[in-house]
Amino acid sequence: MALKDVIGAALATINWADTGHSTFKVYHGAVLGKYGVTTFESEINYHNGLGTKDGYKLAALFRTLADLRGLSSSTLDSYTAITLQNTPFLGATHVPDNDTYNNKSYFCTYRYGQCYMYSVAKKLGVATDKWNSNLAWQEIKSVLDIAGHGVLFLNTSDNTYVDLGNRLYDENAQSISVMIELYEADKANNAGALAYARDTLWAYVNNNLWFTDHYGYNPGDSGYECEGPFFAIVAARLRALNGYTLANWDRVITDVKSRFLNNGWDSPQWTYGTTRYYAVVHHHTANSQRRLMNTIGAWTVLHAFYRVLDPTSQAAIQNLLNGPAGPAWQLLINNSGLFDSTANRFRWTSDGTTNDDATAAGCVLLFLLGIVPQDGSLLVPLHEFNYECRGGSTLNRYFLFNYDARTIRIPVKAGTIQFIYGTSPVSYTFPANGVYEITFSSDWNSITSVSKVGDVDPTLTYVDPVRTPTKLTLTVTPL
Amino acid sequence: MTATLLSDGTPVSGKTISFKYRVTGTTTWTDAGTGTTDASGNATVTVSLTVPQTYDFRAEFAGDEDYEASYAEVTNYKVKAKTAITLTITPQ
Repeated sequence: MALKDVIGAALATINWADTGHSTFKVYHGAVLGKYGVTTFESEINYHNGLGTKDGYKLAALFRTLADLRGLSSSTLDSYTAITLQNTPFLGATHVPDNDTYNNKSYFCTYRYGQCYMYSVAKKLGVATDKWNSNLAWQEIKSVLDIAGHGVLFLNTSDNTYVDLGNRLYDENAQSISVMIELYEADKANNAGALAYARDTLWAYVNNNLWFTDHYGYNPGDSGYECEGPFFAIVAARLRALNGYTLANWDRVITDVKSRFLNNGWDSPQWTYGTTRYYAVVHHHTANSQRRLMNTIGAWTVLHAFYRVLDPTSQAAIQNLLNGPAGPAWQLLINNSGLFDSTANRFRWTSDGTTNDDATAAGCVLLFLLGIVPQDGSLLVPLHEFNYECRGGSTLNRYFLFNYDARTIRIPVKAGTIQFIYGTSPVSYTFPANGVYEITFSSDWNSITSVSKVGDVDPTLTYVDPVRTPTKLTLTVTPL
Repeated sequence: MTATLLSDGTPVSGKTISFKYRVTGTTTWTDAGTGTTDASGNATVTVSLTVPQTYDFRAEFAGDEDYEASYAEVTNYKVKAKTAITLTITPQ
């Protein structure tokens, strides 16, 4: 069975007529060509109608994901205006009340797309007195200063917070992300938010969570956190917004290599004890549960970082994707425990049940696993909207997998990329950077057409700036 | 060995290329020096390999503010020992 057959069989099990009002299903469905702008409009309208803080929170997230997918309409804007006007805030502060812990209201730094709403409010000119990013980042900073590090839950009306373990991603990376989003909402006036993320929060991570060759679970635990993969995206965004320079950036590269690549499938993020699972495990040394969303995060990171890694690490990625141990997609469906090969459906965690949401996300993962970079690679824009708990992944409008049309759309750094959706690999050499649509033959073993549909937007953030591609050839001649 | 650096088919001059080699099947690269690309995009270094065996060669361009990094390899290149043949003609 070829990769395209696995994807086709899994897609056929999903009830696309019912969104389940799920951000996971709608977002991944959009990547898979199943949903467009009207679905996002309907979902924002539905969640506004709930009239609850959870409803407005999810409405905000649907708006965020619509923008990520490049979807826009006047209806989308009018529904979003209702979201902006009705979202509850913490006391008189400018920070949303988006979660509850022990019966008390908090702003959860998981954000649920809400920090992006400061940018949307400014763009639409709606409720900007409440959605004031200039005040919001300073109000959040006041609480983080008391904690001394990133936190998960904070209340800006009474300057309290809840410390649930001071973890790498859940507390520290997410708090950095909050500051990044608020900086992006008003770069001219919020430079302090970027500086705080860089000089205080990032410095804390490097002073307290670095363990020889990787960032650990928390300051007292060197284990590998399952969300660790996506930490690299947060660090890369911080570096990009800081002019593509950041203290200890070399550690981020070292972390990616030791976490995923230096020992192939025996690298710690793929293993528990000596067992290889070919999917991200919950905690390398303490919990063998495998997680689908973190595996999507991992492959998003590896594709995004490929072009800045050394040749040995690039070869390691190629080996994971299509090496002698078997292609990553095959190992995932046969050995990870995340795929039910009888039902052709995915589950979120190895101990969970299969469902539509996970199956849609799994198909997006298989889309990524069919792309093997060579001297060309993906140019993955860096986005981070709490990728795992509510919103799905971070693949923007440049990514599309249309199974029925046998067409994919991807952002490309010029050079050769191999595709392994059929029974035989097929390669194509892209002459220039850009967003391309590639159509395959019926068996996906050959490419029938390639068209450049646009340039990648250089104003988006990437692991490295988008620069002119080069090609090197080497000739050895005896004297 | 000579490396040629091109961008969209056009030579890129004035860039530093690093050269390495290793015995095929081993994992450690040995630096062979650096060269700077000329107007044709060519950079050359010479390495003296006296042991006849199979080698891998690599050239790397690290990239800079304007250009992406790239690299190229030649693998399984057989270096042969030089031989000399002498011919002696002896009258009967």
